[in-house]
Amino acid sequence: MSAPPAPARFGDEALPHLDLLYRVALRLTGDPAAAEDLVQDTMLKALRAWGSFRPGSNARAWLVTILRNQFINTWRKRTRRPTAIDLEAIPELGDEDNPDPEGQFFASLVDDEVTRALDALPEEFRDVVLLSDLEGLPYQEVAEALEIPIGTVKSRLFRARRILQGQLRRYAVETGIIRPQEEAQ
Amino acid sequence: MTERETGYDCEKAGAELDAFVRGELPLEAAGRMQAHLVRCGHCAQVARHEQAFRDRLRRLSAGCCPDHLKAQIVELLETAAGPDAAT
Repeated sequence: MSAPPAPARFGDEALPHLDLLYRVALRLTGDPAAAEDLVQDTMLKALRAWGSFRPGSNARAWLVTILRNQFINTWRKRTRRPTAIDLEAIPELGDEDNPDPEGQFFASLVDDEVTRALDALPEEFRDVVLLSDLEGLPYQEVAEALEIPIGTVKSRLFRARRILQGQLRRYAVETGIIRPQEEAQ
Repeated sequence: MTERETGYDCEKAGAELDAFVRGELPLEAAGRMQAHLVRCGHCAQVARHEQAFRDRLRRLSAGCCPDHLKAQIVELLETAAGPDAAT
């Protein structure tokens, strides 16, 4: 039988993930002071729950789950977020309309615009993009962190990325970063 | 074996493309994808598009936990663990 994790090991497992936890907290709350409080609350909560952590399982995903639950249960009530867009109301742009099929324009977009498009996604879609695309967590860890099946991670990612790409491409055309297909000829 | 023999086509490549761009395809499957991308201009273009998008999103992930917060948390953990806890 394996021994329960010793209390002293909590710091060894948890502290290396502080940067990631802070970035996720900042993205969720949109406010540095709130993000700091959320990370502190998360670490305290995780320390108290350390006995339920299974040795050898993924501490990073476990901590993100706690942080996200803490945010949903406590912090979301205090912070205001922009209203999420209605995914069904947004037409996806077909490839035939795409004047920049290799996506070179993505590199020219400013952070604010990408962030705005990301924040406008419904939470369940934004969170998979946040963990998977921004933070680089593998599918399995995203599934563990969000407590959803891996197939759901993949399908939400696919849909979210299509919506985001459509939004950003539309913005790039509107602001002249790329020209519409007919003018590009 | 050729793609014709294995039945590996654009549809199958498309289903694995996201995992490929993330570096999550097992070695053998990644090799099969790379061979397909060399032959198929369309899929290669889609792969470059997805990679460009992912690179852009990753650039949003900047920043570290502030040092003062790290220090506070270390102190918090030491306090919570009590004076007898091993360090």
